[in-house]
Amino acid sequence: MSKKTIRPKIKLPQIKPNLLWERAFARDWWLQGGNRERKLAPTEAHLSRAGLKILLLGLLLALLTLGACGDEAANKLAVTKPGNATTVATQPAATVAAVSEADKAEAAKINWFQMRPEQAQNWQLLADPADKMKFTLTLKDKSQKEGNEKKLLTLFPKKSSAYDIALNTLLSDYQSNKLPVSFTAINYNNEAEAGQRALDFAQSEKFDLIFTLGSEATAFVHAKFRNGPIPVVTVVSKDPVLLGQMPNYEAGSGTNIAYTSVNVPIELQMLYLQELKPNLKNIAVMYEKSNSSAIETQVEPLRKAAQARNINVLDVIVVNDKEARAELAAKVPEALKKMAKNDPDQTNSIFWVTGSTSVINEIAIINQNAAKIPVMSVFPELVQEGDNSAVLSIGVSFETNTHLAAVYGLYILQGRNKAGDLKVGTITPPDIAINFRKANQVGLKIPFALFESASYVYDYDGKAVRKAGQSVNK
Amino acid sequence: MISRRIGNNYFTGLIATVMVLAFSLALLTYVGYGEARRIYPRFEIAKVAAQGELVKNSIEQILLSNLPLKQFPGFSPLTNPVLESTQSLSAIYVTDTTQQPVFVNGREGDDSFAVPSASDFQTSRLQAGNTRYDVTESGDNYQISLTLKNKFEAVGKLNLLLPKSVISRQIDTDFFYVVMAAVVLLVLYAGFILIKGRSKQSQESTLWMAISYGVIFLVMAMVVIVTLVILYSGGIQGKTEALAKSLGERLNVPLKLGLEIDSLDKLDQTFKNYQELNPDLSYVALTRNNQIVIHTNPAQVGKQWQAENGYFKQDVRLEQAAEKGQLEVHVGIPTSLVFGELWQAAKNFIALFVASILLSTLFFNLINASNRYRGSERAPAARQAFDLSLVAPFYFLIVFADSLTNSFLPQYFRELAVKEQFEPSTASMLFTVYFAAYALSLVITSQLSERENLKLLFMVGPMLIISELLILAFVQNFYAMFVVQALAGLGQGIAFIGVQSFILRVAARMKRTRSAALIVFGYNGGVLSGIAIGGLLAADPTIGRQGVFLTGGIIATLVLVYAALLIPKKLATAEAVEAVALVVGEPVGTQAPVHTGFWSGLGQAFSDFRFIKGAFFIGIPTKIVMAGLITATLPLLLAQQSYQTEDIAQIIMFYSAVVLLSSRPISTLADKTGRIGLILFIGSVLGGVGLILIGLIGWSGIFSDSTAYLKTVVLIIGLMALGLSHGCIQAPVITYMSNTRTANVLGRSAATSIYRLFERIGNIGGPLLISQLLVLSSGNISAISFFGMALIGLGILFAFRLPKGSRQLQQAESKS
Repeated sequence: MSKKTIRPKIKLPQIKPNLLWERAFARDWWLQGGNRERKLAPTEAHLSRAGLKILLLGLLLALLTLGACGDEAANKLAVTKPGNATTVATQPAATVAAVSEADKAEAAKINWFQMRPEQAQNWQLLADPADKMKFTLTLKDKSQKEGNEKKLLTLFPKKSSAYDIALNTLLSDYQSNKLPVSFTAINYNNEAEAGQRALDFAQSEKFDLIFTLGSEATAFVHAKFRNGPIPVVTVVSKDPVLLGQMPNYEAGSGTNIAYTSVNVPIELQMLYLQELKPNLKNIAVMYEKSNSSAIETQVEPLRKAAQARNINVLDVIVVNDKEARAELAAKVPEALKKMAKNDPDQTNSIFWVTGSTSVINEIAIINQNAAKIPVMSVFPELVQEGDNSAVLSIGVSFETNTHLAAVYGLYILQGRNKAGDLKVGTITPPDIAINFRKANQVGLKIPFALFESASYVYDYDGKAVRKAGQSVNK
Repeated sequence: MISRRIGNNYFTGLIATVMVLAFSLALLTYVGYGEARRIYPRFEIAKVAAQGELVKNSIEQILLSNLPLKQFPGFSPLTNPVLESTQSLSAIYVTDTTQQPVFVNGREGDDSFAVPSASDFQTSRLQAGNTRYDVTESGDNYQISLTLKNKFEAVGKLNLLLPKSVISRQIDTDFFYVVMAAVVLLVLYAGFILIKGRSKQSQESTLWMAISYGVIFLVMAMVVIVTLVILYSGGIQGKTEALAKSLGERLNVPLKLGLEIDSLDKLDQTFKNYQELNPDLSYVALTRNNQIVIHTNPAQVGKQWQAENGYFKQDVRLEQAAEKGQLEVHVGIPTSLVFGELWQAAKNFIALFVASILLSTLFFNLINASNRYRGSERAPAARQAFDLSLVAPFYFLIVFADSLTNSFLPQYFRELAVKEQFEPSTASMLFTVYFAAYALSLVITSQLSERENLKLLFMVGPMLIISELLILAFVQNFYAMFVVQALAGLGQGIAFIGVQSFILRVAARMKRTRSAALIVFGYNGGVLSGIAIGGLLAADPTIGRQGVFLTGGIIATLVLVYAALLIPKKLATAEAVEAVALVVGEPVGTQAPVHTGFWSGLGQAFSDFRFIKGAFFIGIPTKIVMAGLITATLPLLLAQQSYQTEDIAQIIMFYSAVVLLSSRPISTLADKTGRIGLILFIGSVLGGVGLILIGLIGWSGIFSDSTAYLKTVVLIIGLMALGLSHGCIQAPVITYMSNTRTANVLGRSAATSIYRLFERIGNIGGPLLISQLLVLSSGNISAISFFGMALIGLGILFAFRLPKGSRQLQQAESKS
């Protein structure tokens, strides 16, 4: 059986070397409320892991891009004779333009947003000469601009790599969807007046849709622009139900705002935990005392849901983040003792790591002290290669949440739905990652259905065997 | 001259019998073939869908990780094994939400393969409920589509293309031998009756012909059923293999990643879910070194694996290193599933058998009568019997031709009405037109029937029916349907008068009641056979409704030719014709009629309490039910209840069969006991009970999904009760009327004629009344129950007798 596959000639995307690390950091920073300084200093080992990740991701993306498609004009099906079966491969056209020096110079004028190279190939960034906090993005492919162009505003409350991920994902999704759109990004720097000016500008320029990036921008628009004339979709924002912006998950807001949530709904999270441990008795929830965001959206909802199921919740609190390692080294064994009271075999208890940097950073110490009790997390990136990993994570990445927001935006722009009719966008199934090395160490069996849903899987040696849903050839 | 005609008729009978058998065997083969084409692709589709699930799971793994559909790598390597292992598949392709192809993998050598346009496909009749896939079909292909989703929305479809020709080839190969068997059996039968048919012992030879006919039919039915069993077994085995492979591949995923099954939990739940998604599976099991580790029946866990009989089984070995223990997945589908699928075919065969036997009986009688006439040196009595046997197939077949449409005509009219933006209930008017035209034809032809040449009626009736059926076949206009129904009513009415007058003239006075049974048999047998065969033909999409109209037209044309060639212009034993509207089971009176004016006769009837209560409480309601429910709306209501055309036909057959079987014994019982009033009362109550039962199927909350079969049982019991009710009423009510004061005053025939006039009110008003009742109840069949209660009420009113004084006064008037 001979096969001949037509390969497109396109440039491989250039991956920003520290992208994954940035992503991990951004999430951690964002989950803490975004007001803290960047303090997750990567160790050498961390960097080397990140480097390996980048290399693997680069290879993966290269493979994926080889099979990727371009515009429809180039979608002519080429028939080849592969032997028993005829393969008809879609042939993408190399429509992406090279990033010119002028483009780079223009992008450099904006210091609060970092565009990914693959997006820079498709989108033209134009800084506003009169306003450093504003820029526009238009599609380079003129054929995609045909039709009634929609004007989208992305509202940044401040500079954040989390928002970089969000806008880059939006750019990628809208370019793929071939909808004629242009983006305008405004950073109002958490100044109410500037925020109001941005909203007035959107109204005067008759924008079609606003994306609010982050919980702060969402809260601002919720307060100032609810029932406004332009539809709004929230991106990488905390659970609007827990924050009181929405009464429930079942209905739309009835206003001009469609909410999405970056949190896994707590009931769903409990469902997964009980799937893992049907007789779950103890959850030792680990968080940083100063991280009010994590407490508000993760710890307290978990406590409430657990208590409703007669599950004991123990608090493992890092009081001083600079002493996190020492504190955890002492508090994790204490938690173990408490759990032993109603679970002497340690078979029906778990450690649950919330999105607190100081806790995430000390996964090695936690694992060392957790004995046979599995350590799980809401933070997808905490499941990683090797031993310094959680057993399992059930969470939502920024990218996943942004994809959902992009879909909501598309529905609204296409007139399929009104913003107020769209119920709170939650992600089902959430992003799941499993480390079987860790699972084996603690004697945890993974439900088959959970394994099937996992996007990232690490084997008994702690090596990645599935990444982004695809098997990794060893 | 007469002798030559009779000689010809002997051969006509023989040829007709062989033709009827040929027709029956052809239909039997066709029904079997149709069933195979209806059922077998489902197995193939289920098999392909199971393989599609495998591909879908792999693609969705990527989609759930937020990668765009276009970026799925390795579509060809993923789908090549599926294409290689499934010969019925011509291509697998993925389309995006705009239905543009994203990936395509076609079969070898098919360089010109192009993804068919989505607009070519429509929802297939093979689409089953509660499946995870859509089945659509175009002229050449079936397409199985599985929706591909990421975490947010559907992003495309995985489509698997099955050429119909590949599936048909398998069926055609198997049915080639069935056709051969049919030809051999037909030749054998023709030879047999050629020898036996010449026998002077006509009774004995007819018996042998009938027995051999039945045997041949049954042998052929067995051949078809065995063929279906073989075909279905192959299909189910293929489905079992695909399901086993699909599950096996899922379980192989962790093994291929270097993980062990022991690291995974809740596989029992996965197996259970898999069984729920594929309810045909009896068991799903996992064994390690032949010991059961997981089983959908937990009691089996820990036992040694032993393959049980009575299942289509498939085992799939998992890709785990041998030193870690040999893992195998086992799935099984019960072989009884084949017999479940055969039920529909068997049901259709039984319906066909009944229709075929009724049809062939006519021709046996013709041969028998011909033999007897030849054997009796042309005695007048034998000649009478022969002439009567000539007319019987005529009436049977002309009713049969029209009844082919009975199981779907109301739906057809309704659809036309809706299409042309009429109120759906307008369609019921068409049935009113039919019965009005029928009544009109009786008036018009009553004078004509007294003339010497009856043959004209035998020619005009079929001509009108042919016109009607041809218009139905070629014109799709709601207004034209009024003409159609008028022609049908006139045609059937004229044919009826022709047959009735023929019998009156030919039959000896003493045998007239028995001869009238020919009409009973002709009408009810024709309706029964017509519904059965028409339902089967209409259910086949290649024939469809238009095909049935044409078939009816062809049969009516054959009837016309039959009448032209065989119905004599002059009757040798013509007797004085009574101006009697001879009807089913009507005893022929000996009392000379008193000639009075129509209006005074009507006045007399209205002054007769017995007459009026018989007409208004029994006769008219019965006709309302017959014309308004059974003919005009029941097929429609059953279609609304999701019954298939052939099922509707077979359900209504129960009504017709009970009427046919019960009419004669009940008439005899009525004559013997003389308790006519009681029989009519029982008939009325039975009718009411029948309607209540029929209406019950529309009451929400009575039948759950698990007791859905009970709904059909109740419906059939209701229809049988209704059939028995009409058996109790149709003939005895005439006897009842001929014993009223009106009959004493005006003469029995005049009284009967007036009663017939009243009956027409029910016939004409029935469709309007029942349709309005259903309009008021928003089309819910439960409204029929209320009509049933009303019918019981009318029965009770009928049982009510006037005070003694009034009765005596009436009796006195009657005597005077």
